[in-house]
Amino acid sequence: MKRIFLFLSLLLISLDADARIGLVTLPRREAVQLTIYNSADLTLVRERRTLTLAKGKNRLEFSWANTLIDPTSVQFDAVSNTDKVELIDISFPAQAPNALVWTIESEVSGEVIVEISYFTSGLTWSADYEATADKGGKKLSLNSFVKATNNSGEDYDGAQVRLIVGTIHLVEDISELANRGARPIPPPVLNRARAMMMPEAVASSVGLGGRFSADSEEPPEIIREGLSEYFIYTVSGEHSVPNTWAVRWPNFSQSDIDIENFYRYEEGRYNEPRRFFKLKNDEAHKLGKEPLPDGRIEVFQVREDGTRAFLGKTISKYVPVGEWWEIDLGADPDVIVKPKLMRREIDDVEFDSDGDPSGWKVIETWLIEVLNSRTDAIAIEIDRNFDGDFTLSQNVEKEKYDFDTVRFKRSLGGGESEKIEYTVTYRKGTLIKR
Amino acid sequence: MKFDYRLPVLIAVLAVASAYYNVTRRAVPPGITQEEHFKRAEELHSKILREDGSIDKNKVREALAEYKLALDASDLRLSAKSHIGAGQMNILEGDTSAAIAEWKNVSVILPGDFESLRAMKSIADAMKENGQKEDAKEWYKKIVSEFGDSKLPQAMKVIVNSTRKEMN
Repeated sequence: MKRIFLFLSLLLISLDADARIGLVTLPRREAVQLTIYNSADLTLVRERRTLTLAKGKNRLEFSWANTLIDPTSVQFDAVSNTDKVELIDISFPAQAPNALVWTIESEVSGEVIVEISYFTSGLTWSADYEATADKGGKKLSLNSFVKATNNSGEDYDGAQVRLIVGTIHLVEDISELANRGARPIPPPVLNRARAMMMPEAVASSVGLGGRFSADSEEPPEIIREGLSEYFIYTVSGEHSVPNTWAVRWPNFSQSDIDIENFYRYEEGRYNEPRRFFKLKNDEAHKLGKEPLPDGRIEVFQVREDGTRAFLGKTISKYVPVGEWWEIDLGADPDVIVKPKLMRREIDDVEFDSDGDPSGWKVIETWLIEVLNSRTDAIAIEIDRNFDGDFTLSQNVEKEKYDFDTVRFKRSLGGGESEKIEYTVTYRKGTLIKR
Repeated sequence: MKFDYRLPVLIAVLAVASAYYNVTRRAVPPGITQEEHFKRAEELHSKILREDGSIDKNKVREALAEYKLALDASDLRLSAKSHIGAGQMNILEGDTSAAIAEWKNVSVILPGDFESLRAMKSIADAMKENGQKEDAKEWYKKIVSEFGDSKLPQAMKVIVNSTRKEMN
């Protein structure tokens, strides 16, 4: 609450003869709703407070100092007595930086419920995933969490939290509008009672999953619904999201998901073969109820002795419903791919009327050595890129991936190796056919 | 042999000129950026109101000095905010005309912006408070002519609507 008074120092002052007649301490927020977008640094804050207004003109001071609130977005609306309470003027007091004073004309004397809404930056959310593959790498258990991080300069207690998945368009960043070049660094807030909250750095390093509020045994429910091009997660209940803290809630869990376990190598893109888990965000894979928001994923695999081995941590991109999801587990030194150029020759040279070469063919023979020094079998995709007009030898198993990429798919048992040899012919100059 | 005074005199003149330049012309002392001056000013500004409701005049003067050092920042928003802050300090020192002069800069630096509207409203209100009713009216008219036709958020629209009433 202390921070709230610092931020929203609202004073009710009668304008009568410029004397401060009724200096009223602002009551605490009765309700606050945070709608946090993950595609932009943007949060809509809507809060309700009950003010005691005097009949006539009242003054109300609103300060956005030390926060990242966009002052142009601040809106004041009466919820009760709507036709009797009107905002008639805004002025800027000299004695407070980043503050405005609302002049409110009230036809009634007494309590009036008001809603104050504004956009702020510094409040973000992302998804956290924890995936565990079985011993054979065929099935996956997936736990999903959503994490809100507050660096807005303001504490939000008892907040209803809504998280938006989807892309929105902003002309200007709210952080720029709010406090360009002058953002203060607020001190950290420590509170032992808030067992579910921890500073961002700590939360990411310990990787805790599914820890809930100290005053509640049950985790909050995440209600998911689609709205136009957006998807909304509403976190049930009210939550504290203090400044400089991250708060994480469990989203969904799904086990027994079929996965493909494969390796991919592409010279220039990956220096070494990389291991991937592949699954589709659809019903066949026991998913597909919603898009999977971007975030971080930690991947484990169950070992022979039943313990879990950490395979890696990576960034996951937004996965729409019906799309494939490839989880990059990083390079594996036990799988080796070595492409070698064995022969290169120039043939079928044509000359123009001046006797200069105008067209020719370049013929290259390549040998790709693939070695699986693991004890289990693997599937591997080797992508080769070719420039210009080219033809590949017909006697090698391959598939065309796109106009200049050919993919060689192979399966190798534990300890096996294979050699892939192909010849590519490039047509140059006047010999180019396409 | 007659001593040639020209070289020592030239060196002395250059030394004095260099010292004068360092003292008077360099707006930002080494190591302190205009953004830091602005932060200091805002920090002081937030503390000028004592608990008993009186104004701490020393902090007002210090804040004014810090705002002035940030006035010509290359970040236009920072510069505009510094002019607004300096004007507010001038008001607290009782110098309305200096405040108005500061605020007039804002609409030149950030025309059409919220900060500009804020400064123009402050100018009009200060003139009205100072008894310059006709001048204030002109500024209210200026606000309506510059912002009246725009699609504005409530925070700006209310200002424009209230100034319409002040024009009459």
